Amino acid sequence: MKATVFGAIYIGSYEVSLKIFTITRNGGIKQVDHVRTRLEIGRDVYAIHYIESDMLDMLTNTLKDFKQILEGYKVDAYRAIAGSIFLDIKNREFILDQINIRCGIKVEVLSNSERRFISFQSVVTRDEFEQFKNENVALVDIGGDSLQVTLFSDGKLLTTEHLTIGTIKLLERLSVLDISVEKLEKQMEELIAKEFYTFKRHYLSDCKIDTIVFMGEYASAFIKKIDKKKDGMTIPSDRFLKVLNKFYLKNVDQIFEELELYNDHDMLVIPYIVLYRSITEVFDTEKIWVPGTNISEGIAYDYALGRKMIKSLHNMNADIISAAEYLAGRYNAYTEHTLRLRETTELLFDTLKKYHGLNSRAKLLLEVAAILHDVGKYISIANGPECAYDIIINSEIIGLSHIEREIVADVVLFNTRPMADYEDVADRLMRDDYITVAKLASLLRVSNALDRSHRQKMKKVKVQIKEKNLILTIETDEDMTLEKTLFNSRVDLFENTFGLKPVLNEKRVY
Amino acid sequence: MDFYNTEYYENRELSWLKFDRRVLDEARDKTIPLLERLKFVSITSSNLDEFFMVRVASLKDMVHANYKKRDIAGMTASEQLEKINECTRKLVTLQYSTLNKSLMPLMAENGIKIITRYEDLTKDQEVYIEKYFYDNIYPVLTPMAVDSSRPFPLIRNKSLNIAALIRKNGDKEEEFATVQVPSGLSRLVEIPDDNENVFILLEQIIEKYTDKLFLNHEVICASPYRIMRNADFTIDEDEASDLLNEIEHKLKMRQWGEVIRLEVEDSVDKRILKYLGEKLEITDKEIYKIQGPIDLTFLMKLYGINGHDNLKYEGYTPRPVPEFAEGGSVFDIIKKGDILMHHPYQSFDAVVNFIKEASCDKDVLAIKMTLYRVSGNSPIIAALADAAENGKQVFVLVELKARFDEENNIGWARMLEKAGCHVIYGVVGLKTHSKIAMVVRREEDGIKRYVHLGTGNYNDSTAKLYTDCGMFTCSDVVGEDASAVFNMISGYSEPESWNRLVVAPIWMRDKFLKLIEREEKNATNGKKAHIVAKMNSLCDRDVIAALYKASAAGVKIELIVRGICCLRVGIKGVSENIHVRSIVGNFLEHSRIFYFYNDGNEEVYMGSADWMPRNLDKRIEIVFPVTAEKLKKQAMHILELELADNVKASVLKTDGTYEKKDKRGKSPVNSQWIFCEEAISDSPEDNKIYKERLFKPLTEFNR
Repeated sequence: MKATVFGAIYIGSYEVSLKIFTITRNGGIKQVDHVRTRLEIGRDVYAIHYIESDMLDMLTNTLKDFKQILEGYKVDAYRAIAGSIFLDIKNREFILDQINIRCGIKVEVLSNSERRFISFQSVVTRDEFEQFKNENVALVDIGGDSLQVTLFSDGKLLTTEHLTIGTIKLLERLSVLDISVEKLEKQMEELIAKEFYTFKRHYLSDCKIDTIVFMGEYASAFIKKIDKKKDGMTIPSDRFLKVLNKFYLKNVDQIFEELELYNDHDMLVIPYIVLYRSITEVFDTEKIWVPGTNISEGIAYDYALGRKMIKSLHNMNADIISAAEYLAGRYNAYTEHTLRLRETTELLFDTLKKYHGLNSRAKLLLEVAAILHDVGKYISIANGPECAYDIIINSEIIGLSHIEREIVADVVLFNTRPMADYEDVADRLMRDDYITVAKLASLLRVSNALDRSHRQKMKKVKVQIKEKNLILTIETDEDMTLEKTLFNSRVDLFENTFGLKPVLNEKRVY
Repeated sequence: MDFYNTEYYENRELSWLKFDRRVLDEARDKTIPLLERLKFVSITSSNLDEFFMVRVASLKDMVHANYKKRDIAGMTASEQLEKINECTRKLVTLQYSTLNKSLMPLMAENGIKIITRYEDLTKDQEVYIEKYFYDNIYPVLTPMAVDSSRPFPLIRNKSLNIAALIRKNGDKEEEFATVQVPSGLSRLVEIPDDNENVFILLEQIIEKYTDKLFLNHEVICASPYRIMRNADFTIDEDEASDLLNEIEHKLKMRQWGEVIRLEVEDSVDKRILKYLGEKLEITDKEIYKIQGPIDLTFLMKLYGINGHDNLKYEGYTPRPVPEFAEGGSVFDIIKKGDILMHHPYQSFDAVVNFIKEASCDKDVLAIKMTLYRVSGNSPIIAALADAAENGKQVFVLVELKARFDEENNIGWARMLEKAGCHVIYGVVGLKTHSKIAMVVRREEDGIKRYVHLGTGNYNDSTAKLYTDCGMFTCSDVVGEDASAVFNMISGYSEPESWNRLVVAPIWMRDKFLKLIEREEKNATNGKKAHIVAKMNSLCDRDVIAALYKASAAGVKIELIVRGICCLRVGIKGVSENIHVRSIVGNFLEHSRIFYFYNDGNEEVYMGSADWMPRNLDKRIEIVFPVTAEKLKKQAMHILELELADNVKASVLKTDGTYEKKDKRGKSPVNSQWIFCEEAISDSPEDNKIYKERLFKPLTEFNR
């Protein structure tokens, strides 16, 4: 079978790029061409929250060129993605419409977590990432508006955090000041230190990071200064710092000359240097790895993984689960009850497959909802569901899209609160998603009702469907009065959703 | 040590004149067949025309603009013009003495006669010429008289004209008249003769019959003349940008087409000369009195006359590139490994076939290439048009700024556009001089790029006359760079850095300076250090200074520079380790090859760029590394042989003159001949097919 040719377009805050890849089962993903154009969309958007006509013309002209290149390669497929900068654009829909009309390219706008997940895939799906499976790793993805730090421990994802100290943001926050390079770097360092102080307190108090994986501009150029052939996987952090320190206080021209990047004179190189240096110092790691990939590779990996064209040793679903577990742990909500709930929801989901018609992704969302269903109580016992909703919506669970996070948050909310009418949630859920929420929430409710006391009284649960009933037989040697009393008040949603009446039977075992 | 001291540099114009002198030396070389010698005289003449139109014109612009900056050798523009005038006169004198005293008698001995005086015609010949005049010349002549009501006409640049002083019958007053020698007619008019080839020059005939053009007028005297104008309104790219701004401003204020040179026959009537001088507003220094026919480019025509094969070298037919000799898919062959070609010893057909095969290969997605100068009926252009019609994406950069080829290139570009190619007419502010072609193919295991990189143009005609190198590769890293080149010139994207290719402007100058500096450091550290560089011209101040520094550190530097060389050799403490030679032979040396010893890890580069400011700063040029060991050896062999050449190589001496190597007691080494022989022996199918047309080297040195 011939290789698949795929194009990845990414519209970022200061650059629009196109990469052409070939994807083969044996050879994996290989970059064939890379075209990039500097377009400082970010500066306009941060200032006025609009894309004006001149910028639109430049953007569409660039994309027309890209379309021509895509046609030249006769690509099998392509995907165009705009970064989170587009979320801040007030005339976004018109801009996207104009791009489609003028260039015939449909651009998807991703939330920060979705974009980061796509970038993240290009790193963690690589075989090389397996070398870190017994280490603590911080994956730092630096962009124009923010940076994303994702922590792994023993190959399991712990958490991911979004810090608004991207390169353009840093420059923007300091650009009002007419200052020397020395002062500029100093102030950036202070800003970065301030942001990382909280991060360290939350996540690194009892965890020592072994390796930092950097994704971002110029990182490869700095690595080249150490290892010309780029064949080394990781390099010692002190050598990386030594190279970065050589650029300390140098002006932009001097930096690019030193890097042998004669065609680049972008001021952004300074915040990149400061960020690489500060982060390396904050984490105090032994090693650095620069895989040299970015969002474009991620788009290609996402495409190839989605079509099972390549295999990955890394389990993405496990990352989502482990991130959810870590989040639940932070809110003291990862208990025995949670574990039992996960088992029960899984059992129910599998048993009712013919009735709910949902796919394995929905099962994963249900599992995440089960893990996070109690996080709100950390803030308020009385308003636990609302607080849980807010926590989930505002937490980044890498691997979940924005809408998936919404579904999880709603499933948790409607686990205890009455299911809202569609009209009340139509601003945040499409009709299909609403139905998914209803189905998953009803499964969670029923499962939760079986352990209402949170004492894991049942030893085993058996689920059967008989005529119009869902028979739940629990084996227990404890008093199940509370569960049985409250059970019927928790099953209305399930009955309305699936047309099956849940019936609770008790089987005494000793 | 100040390596930028102007005393260490040669003026580029004077160095160029020395090159033209070396070409003329070929015409003076008695070991060379007669018609070949005439060819060299013709070349010196056309070279000189171009030199005046471009370089002298530029210097005159500087003088008009009162531009005071000194050149690399510390000379002002007026000082340079002064010196050029002096040297050119010597060169022209030598040119005509060679022609008149040596070549003309030899031609006559060999049955080729050029009648330079009408009076020398026999009666029969006169009858023939008179008929020829009325039948062929008279109808296309446009005589123009000048008087108070008819101003002096605009005389076309480089056109040959007849000036005449005439007087109306019965009048006393003399009038000036001029008539252009028609450029559409052959300058050499052959007069039928059973025994020999007899010619008369067209202007001689017109001069003789001038009285037939002005009825009722008496012709007092008539004489041919030719002017050269500064007709080029774009400033020569070799000049500094501040100069360009200054001159462009001045140009706007100046009348069109200043005359910068007037050539007249030595015997011209003083009144005609005075009149022309006044009307054309030129000084005595700009008048060249010629000891023979004006404009010797016509001599090239003699090369094509039948029946004198004994007066020419036997033709050499370029041999097939061995890798492609057995046929098969070009792409499959390239996949086996990089291939280096040496033209014209090896045929350019491999390159033409590369594009031809790509144009109809079902797996080819795109063909991209740069075109600087192409041949009259280019098979490459035809193949590109076919490719577009076959649904391939064809991207072509046609450089409209290729000097003297502008019109030609516009024609091709339009034709390609009609065929559906995506044509770009150059890059703003830069000439695209790089020679690169890329074929993008979709194969089983993905996209594969096949790249041809060369030192010479994609011109199948000149590829038979110019020595150039080319390389085929399908290396992924070079392919990535090639894509980046085309993305850059199509305006899509500018890369930050390159995997392998060295691209000008921006990147190339620094790269070369670093390579030279690396050798210098190695020499300083007591290691062996060696640079060999072959190019057409060397006049970049920074590069020369770096070479001086390297030489001072002990680096052995051997330069093969065909044309201009602003570097001076043998300066104590500066250039004692630098040796410069220039090869002027039957083929025009054109390849650029750069070798660096690099502490034993030898590096070889080839490409389109000379070490000139224009190549490094104002053009898109590509230099590529030759990395495969076998190819590296081939490239080094080319350099080694050219360094050993003692037949066609002239060596630059400390006093700035060039001298042929002393061959006494040594076997003659003519590198071009040896390359021919090697190509013949490497060609597998050869020997039978080409045997009767073998290029036979001359091994005698009786001068």
